[in-house]
Amino acid sequence: MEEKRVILDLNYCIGCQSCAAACWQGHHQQSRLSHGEVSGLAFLPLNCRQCEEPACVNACPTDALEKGEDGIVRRRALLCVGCRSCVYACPFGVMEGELIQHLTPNCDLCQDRVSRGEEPRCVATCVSGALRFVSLSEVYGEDKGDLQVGARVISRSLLKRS
Amino acid sequence: MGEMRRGICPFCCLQDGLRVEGGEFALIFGENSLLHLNYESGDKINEGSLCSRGNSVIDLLDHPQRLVAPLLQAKQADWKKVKRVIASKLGEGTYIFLGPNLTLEEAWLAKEFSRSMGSGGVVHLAPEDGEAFRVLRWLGLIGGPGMEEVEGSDFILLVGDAFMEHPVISQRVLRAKYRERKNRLFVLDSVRTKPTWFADHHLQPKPGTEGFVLAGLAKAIYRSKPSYLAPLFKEIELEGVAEIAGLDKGEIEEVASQLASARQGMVILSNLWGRVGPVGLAALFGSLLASISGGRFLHLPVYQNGFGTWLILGEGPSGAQLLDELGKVKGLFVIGFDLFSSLPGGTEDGILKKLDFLWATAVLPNRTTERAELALPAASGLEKGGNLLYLDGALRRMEPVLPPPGVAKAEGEIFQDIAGEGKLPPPNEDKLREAVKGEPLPEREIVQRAQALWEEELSKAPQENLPFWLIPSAHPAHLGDGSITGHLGWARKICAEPSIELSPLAAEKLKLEAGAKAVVSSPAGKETFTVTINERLKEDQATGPAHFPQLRRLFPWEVGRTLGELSLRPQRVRITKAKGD
Ligand code: SF4
Ligand code: SF4
Ligand code: SF4
Repeated sequence: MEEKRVILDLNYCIGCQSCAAACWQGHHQQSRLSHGEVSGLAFLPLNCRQCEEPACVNACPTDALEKGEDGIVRRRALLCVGCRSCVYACPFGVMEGELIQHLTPNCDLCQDRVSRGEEPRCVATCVSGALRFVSLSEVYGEDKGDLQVGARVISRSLLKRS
Repeated sequence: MGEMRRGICPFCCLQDGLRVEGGEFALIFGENSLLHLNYESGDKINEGSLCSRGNSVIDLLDHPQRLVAPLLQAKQADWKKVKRVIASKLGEGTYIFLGPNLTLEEAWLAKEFSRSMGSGGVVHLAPEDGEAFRVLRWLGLIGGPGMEEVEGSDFILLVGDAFMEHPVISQRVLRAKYRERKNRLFVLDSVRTKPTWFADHHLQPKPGTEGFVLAGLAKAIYRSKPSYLAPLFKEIELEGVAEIAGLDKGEIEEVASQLASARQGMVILSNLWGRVGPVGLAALFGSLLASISGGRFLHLPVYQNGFGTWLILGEGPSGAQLLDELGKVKGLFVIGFDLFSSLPGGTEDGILKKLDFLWATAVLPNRTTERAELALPAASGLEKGGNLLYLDGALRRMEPVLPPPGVAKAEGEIFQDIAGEGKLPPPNEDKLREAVKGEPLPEREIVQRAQALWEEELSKAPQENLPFWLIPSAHPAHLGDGSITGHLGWARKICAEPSIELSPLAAEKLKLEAGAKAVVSSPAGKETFTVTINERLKEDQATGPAHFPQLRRLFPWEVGRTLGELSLRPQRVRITKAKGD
């Protein structure tokens, strides 16, 4: 099965935090999805990008975080010492700073649901349709250069137009 | 695979579908091994989406604070004893006070119950929607557009903050906006809110004047049809409206003409605790504006079945009128809502002093059950079956997901048990359909009443000139008076206490930082809040979530002359730094 990612369409997100509520409710009161204020105007969920070269994995001193073959960054709970190195390392600020049971929770793309053919919680619940669960080829154009959302193509380079 | 049941979210009028699933048996509890919520992507109304309240409904089923047995003077009692107490006291001068969380059958049974017990009658209190319900009933507007029609609109005028009050509506509104490049979303709101991020135009009038602006918009495009409205529009002057609202007349005319030229225009009204000003006026002119421009009007009431239960009761006196004449009332039986968290300032002690008895049913303890001699455990919205009135005027059938805990019962069942076996047969669907059907009043009468309402609202004395406007706001984790959502885990995590939002400039002038304590005083009362900063506010605007009694108490008690319902609007207040902060 092709790898999939959660993407956020800024044209739709109303900043209601329903996605975070769903994540929290579905993961024993631990949200793996934080929200951030953007210039005091927008309030958006900060979804884990499951980066190709994850800074959080590199930063983890106990190797509790690892990137699996399916591209998903996972935390091995028993190795995590709750030092927050990953929280500080993540360039997108997606790891929640709050320490719960000495473990900083991280997003595993709701593998429990996805393995049953369901969408991740935040995507299934999103009230506006802003969050979508799409395959990598839908996220990146053929040449991996352009970011596509639906029919729109958002170019990564300001000088390039598809 | 565990079991699955379909339910309906009890936390607002959108009635979003959901699933509750039983756990799979596993040696170590995984995320889905216990009772959990799932998303009903096949539901035509919400396509699976749920807001944070919808995601929290599952908490109701096993909430540790649930009322699970009757309490008589705070001691556990059995239903037999309860029955004796109620049967011995309910009669003349005692009233049944109905909340908005009931099914149509239950509202029907409440009426029959009152009749069979010889009580004074059944009344209903809907602080945010009562006025609008009355007006829509005059006009015979029981069913509005459904979700597909919202999505099919090419011009939407959103009045109020529907995105935070009913988050799932955003999907349809935004799809309508983005479907074609020429489609438009306009917002009418005194505050810059989340919907204004998306708006092609934001009409920003003075707080509480939204109803006047809607009247002005309707006036701007009213030519001569329908002719029976001519005497009403003769009274309305665009210049006057522009002055009241602090808007430019040309802006009102431009917005009106864009709405009039839409292929499928829509006016959506969402109100919370008087946020948009007198909501009867807003509902009247919002719906007239829609019909004159050939569009549709959608009113989004706060509660799941508020309009349905209100319609079943018929046009009697309102709960607000009853509370105004408490001298005649001996006892109150409050059904399924928290009367005392719902009311504006200074009313609670006055009510308690005048009553011989107060009884209440509830799912979770609240300010009313705490003061009641008799507190009865009720079934939550996921634990009972029955019909609801949906926004489009159709009945929507709800099935219970689980039985209620302990000896709790659905309110309809409580009425039937107390009245005695077989005495209160439940109504069939035809009877319910008949009872919620709306016929408009004769045209002359509509115009007379509309004129009276217009004149009444125009004549309301300007408020004392205090420096700030206090404008009620919605928090998406809470519903209405917050008495149920205040117990839910997620709402407690992200909005446990009421706060007051100030503009950065106002906060600086008052020497208040985020997290500091501020005292807010209005002619109705004085309360202390924690300050947060909101860059979207104007300097003289302060907002606070209307889901807390502390905020509601700052609003004065007022019953409108024409509509006889609670009348609420943004308030002028003074804000100072709390001593010792
Ligand atoms: S649920 Fe959807 S609209 Fe709401 S904050 Fe999350 S992504 Fe945005
Ligand atoms: S994919 Fe699942 S774990 Fe990740 S943020 Fe969304 S709900 Fe949380
Ligand atoms: S918008 Fe939220 S509260 Fe309203 S029905 Fe949907 S999930 Fe429930």
